[in-house]
Amino acid sequence: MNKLYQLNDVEKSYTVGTRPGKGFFSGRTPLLLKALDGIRLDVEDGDSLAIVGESGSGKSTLVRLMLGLEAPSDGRLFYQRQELGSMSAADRQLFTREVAFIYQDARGSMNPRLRVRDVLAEPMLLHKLCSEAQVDSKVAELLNRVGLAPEMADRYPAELSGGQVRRVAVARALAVQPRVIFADESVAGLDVSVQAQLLNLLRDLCRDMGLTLVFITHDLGVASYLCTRIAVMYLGRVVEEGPSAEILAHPHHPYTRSLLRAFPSFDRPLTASLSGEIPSPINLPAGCRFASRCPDARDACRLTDPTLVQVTARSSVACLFPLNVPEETPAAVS
Amino acid sequence: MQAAGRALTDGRASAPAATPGISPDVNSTTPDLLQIRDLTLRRGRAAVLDKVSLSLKAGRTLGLLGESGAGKSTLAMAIIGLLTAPQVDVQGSLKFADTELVGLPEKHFQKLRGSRIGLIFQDATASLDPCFTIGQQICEPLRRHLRLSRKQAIERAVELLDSVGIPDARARLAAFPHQLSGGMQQRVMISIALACDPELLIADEPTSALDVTIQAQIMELILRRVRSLGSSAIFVLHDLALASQVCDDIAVMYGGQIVETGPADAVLRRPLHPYTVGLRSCVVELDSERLVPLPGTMPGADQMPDGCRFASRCAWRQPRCETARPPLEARDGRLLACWRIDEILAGSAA
Amino acid sequence: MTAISSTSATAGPAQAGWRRRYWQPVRRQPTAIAGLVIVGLFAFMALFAPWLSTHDPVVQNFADALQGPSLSHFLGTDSFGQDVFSRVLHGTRLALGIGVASVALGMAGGMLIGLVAGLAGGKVEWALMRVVDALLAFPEIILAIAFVAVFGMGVDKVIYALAVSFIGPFARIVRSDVLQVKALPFIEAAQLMGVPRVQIILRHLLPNVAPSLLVQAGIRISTAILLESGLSFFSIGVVPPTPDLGLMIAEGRAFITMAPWISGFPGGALAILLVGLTLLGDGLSNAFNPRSQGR
Repeated sequence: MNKLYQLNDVEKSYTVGTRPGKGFFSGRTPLLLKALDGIRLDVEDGDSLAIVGESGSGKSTLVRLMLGLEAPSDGRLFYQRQELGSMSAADRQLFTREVAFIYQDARGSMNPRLRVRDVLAEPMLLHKLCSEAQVDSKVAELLNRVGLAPEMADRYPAELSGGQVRRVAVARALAVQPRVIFADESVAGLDVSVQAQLLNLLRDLCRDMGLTLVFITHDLGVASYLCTRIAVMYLGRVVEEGPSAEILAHPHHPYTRSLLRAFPSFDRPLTASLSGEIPSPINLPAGCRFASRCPDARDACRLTDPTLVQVTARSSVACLFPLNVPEETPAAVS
Repeated sequence: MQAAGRALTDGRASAPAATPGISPDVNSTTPDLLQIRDLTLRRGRAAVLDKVSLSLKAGRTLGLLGESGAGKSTLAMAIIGLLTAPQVDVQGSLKFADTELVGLPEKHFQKLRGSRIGLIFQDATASLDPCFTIGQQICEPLRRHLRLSRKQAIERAVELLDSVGIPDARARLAAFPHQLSGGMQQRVMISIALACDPELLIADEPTSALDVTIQAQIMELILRRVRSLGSSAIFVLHDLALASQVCDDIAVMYGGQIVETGPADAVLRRPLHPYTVGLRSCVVELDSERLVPLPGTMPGADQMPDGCRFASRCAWRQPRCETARPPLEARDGRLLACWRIDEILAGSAA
Repeated sequence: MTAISSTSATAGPAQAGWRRRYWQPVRRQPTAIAGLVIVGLFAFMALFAPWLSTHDPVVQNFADALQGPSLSHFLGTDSFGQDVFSRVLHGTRLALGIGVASVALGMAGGMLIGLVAGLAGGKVEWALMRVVDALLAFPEIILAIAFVAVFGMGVDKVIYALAVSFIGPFARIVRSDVLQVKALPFIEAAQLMGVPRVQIILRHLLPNVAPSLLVQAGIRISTAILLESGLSFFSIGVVPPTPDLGLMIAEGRAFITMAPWISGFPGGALAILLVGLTLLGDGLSNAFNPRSQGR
């Protein structure tokens, strides 16, 4: 299988101010916010991967790195065996064609002064995928593919409803015939009916066109509906990764289990499965970052920071005492 | 709901089958805390709320469900009088414990808000004044409505913050809203809303802006406090699954009208109105195979058709539906507004 | 409520879109309409001044001097026998001409500086903004007087003088707009798609910076006209006998009791023009201010 993305121990830190140094004469030391810590992730051609996490998990930062908007502070990030930072201009231009991004704020991601036709035509003309004369027919084709009437081409983004503008964003992503589509919370904040339409659209498109999809969301239900693989993130670390069906049925990490339980369901009473607040990424505790809220935390958990290791044939987990694992022995420690 | 209201005020005993949805197992002589009859709210030409009728008994929780534009937030705002003339024209009756709220002067509303009716909004960050400390904002309703002295108000504020699970409550009184996380801010909002032990709590999407693990905590907290006070609550929600776990009764709104009401269990497990059925099949659950979205979109408030407002998207549509609006009728322990409800009932499994 | 409405906004073909975006907001503002009417009237007068004038504005005729309004001279004559009506028409033409030209020049200069500063950031931005600060430290009229003192009087010098004093404010506005727009998602989205920098600036950045700039420009035209008239009033602006409203007011000063129309009509015209421009500027800025869109 062709590996499109390979992330080896990728880290990303931001300086968020200063703190007085220790000792009278030392200057202020910078406060570091570690948004991403030791990420190991692969994305293969044709995969559909959901990155699931709550606020502070680092999922948006991870995607920004994978899109090449920022560079990792440490570790290496490969796209098709090339590092994004050291690509030639031509390769970089090809990269922008092969990788498309659908923003969470779909309306904000379009120039309000351009009509839908121009919004869709821009990437096509830029990458020379069609000539000026063919633009209108191509635009109509794209609109049709995402279920919009051809008259939409004459509208401005501000005149479209929330669901319609997201479809246009999907159409724009498809316009360049990409290999990978990244989508950031593309269905959050929509009415359930519009959300359902959009989810079906995305699912069908990816299946019909053989696209690789990386979908960021906080909703495990949406994640499993759209994607065959899920990576759960917590405070900058991938804590669990594996097939959707397996993660939903037998979560291996206590955080994933809590996340599953917290989701309202028609059949289960609502349980507050986790107490406490999400800790700040600036003040990460020693040991496992989830230990402060983990119902199963043991002493060892507060001392050692587990890394992602494989526990079953197709899933990995970062936990010293993973759940639902055939053998009773704890996973190897870092 | 009109039938229930009438039955209660007439003092006539009704056969259980005829007593509609809301609170079937509560003593029928318990008075309604909130009674809404034919409430119509117009903004310009548009009837944003169209002959809405509901009732709510003390100690029950009601969920208002529907898509955006259905009027659920508008109804919630109307109950607390935050939508008044001259922009809007309100007709009909809205009674809160025997006080008629339609046309109530603002002065009297201010006495109700914060003391007998508590409010929680969706975005705590926007609802808390960034210029005042948490302590000042909690003490304000306490001193205004309960006339507590400064010392007493502070003590009560500490108690309240404790009860909503804020650690180190006394120290937190001096904090400003931006120094707290989203979940903490929402807890502060809850404590302000419940500060004076209100009889009715209105919460408009109280947890939508929060992470899902925090959401569960907050929702559970709200329920616990409401139940311990014996208050009623109205939740405006768009999450059907959440509503099924949190509310005793549900009212489904579409286009400014109520289309189905009844006990939460019944309405969400066995939806009857075509709109509710459609909503239910769009909800993403952990084991959803295929979502079935509703065709079309809800028309804007000023483009509402005559007749049943849902007709344009309804699979059961008939010519009659497009000309005449179906009334709310009692069936099977609930209230439904659909011309073809009997056929639907006959067709669905018991 | 988190859910975004799934109802579509009003439909319409492209033409209706234009009308909705530009005309309707303006129509809702009574000040804009009033301003539009007044300015429109003056613009018409200015444009067709050569044809509407009854006499040549600079021809002197002492026999007809100091005559009150009559059928042959609608607004009377001044101390040189020049027809006040024709001079007012041409004076309006000059005022609007100088106003628009100086604002356009100032805007061009300010836009260049603001664009470079906003895009470059860092030390370049810092340096440019300090230059702008220096320019802004001087009141506009002082800068204009200094310029005229160095380079001399005349219509063209006045235009340059005023333009220099406008560079500062425009540079500030453009820079802050550029900073704001630069941070919007669609700029990043364009970068992600591989759109080259130049195209991003021209196609995505500038068109979104322009609207507020144009509204500001409109407001400044009234300032320009006032300044220009002021300079001419103090005899350090345009050179007589150029028909200029400020100059005419100055010339009529000595005759204010005997022949008030010499200063009165140009003064009145100037006042109404300025009020009209201010109303228009206010109305436009209200119309296109997103916060006052009645949401």
